[in-house]
Amino acid sequence: MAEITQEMIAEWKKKYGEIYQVNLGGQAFVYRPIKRIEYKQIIGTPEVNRALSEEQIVQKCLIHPVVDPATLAAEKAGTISTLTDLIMVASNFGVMEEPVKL
Amino acid sequence: MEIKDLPLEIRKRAAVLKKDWSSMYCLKIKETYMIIRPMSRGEFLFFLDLSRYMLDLEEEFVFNECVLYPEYEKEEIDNLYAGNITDVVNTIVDLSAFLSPENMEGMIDESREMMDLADSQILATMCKAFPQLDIDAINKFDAQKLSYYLALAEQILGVKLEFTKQTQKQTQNSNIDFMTENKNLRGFGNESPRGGNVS
Repeated sequence: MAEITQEMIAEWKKKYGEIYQVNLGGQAFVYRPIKRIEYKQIIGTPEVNRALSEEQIVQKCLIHPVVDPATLAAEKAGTISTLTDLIMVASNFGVMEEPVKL
Repeated sequence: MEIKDLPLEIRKRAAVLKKDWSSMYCLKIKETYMIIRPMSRGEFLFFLDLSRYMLDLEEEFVFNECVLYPEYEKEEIDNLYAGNITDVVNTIVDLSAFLSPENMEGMIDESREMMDLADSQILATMCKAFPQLDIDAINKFDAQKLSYYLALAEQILGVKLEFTKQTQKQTQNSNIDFMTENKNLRGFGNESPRGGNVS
């Protein structure tokens, strides 16, 4: 597995803006938040189910390592779900504060 | 978080918007502030109708109609992080209260409690005597015009509203405290209904 360098991070930040890194089972994953239009494309697919949508979200937002459906299938069972949860939080799901009445 | 904790820019925007929207809320998502309003009943029914087509149009309808600040172009909405839209829309739906019998019941209870206030009694008396007047029209009256219409209403209906004047001694026992009432009325209650970065 290629080591993540400062140059790679700088390049990803330039390309994607906000990026995050997490280590799962000794492996580093770099991901970005999902945009509204990308999310709509995934959940708007008629045949989508939870497992499929998780895989699509991870495929779309995982920057490093580069994955395809075959490599995703070989990942440990919890990796995809955990990455999806992290991507969702980074995409501002569930982070809203209590509304203030004006 | 309270109004006083909000950034000056947001409080200024809210003050301007308040003239058009009596019920508004400020939402904070990370560092982003939004001013939103609940849906009207008609908008809520349309939102439900749109949901039936399963085209994901309902979220954008609510976001476009009810997010008062900041203003977003279509392309900007597409490029926002997904949670910004979905969570904001869910909150708007929640605050709109029509989906939740508990929220609706709570609001009705709050409003029923306000019926004991002198202000509500005045409105009810005037609406009864002058059916052509609605509450929005009455709210445009100044105090003198309001007093005159109220006196006329009493004449027409053959009733006389009695207000206990508040004196220093009566402060704690008085039935009507106009200062408190006005404060309560202004916001129709101030409580909310219910409703590692790589660097």
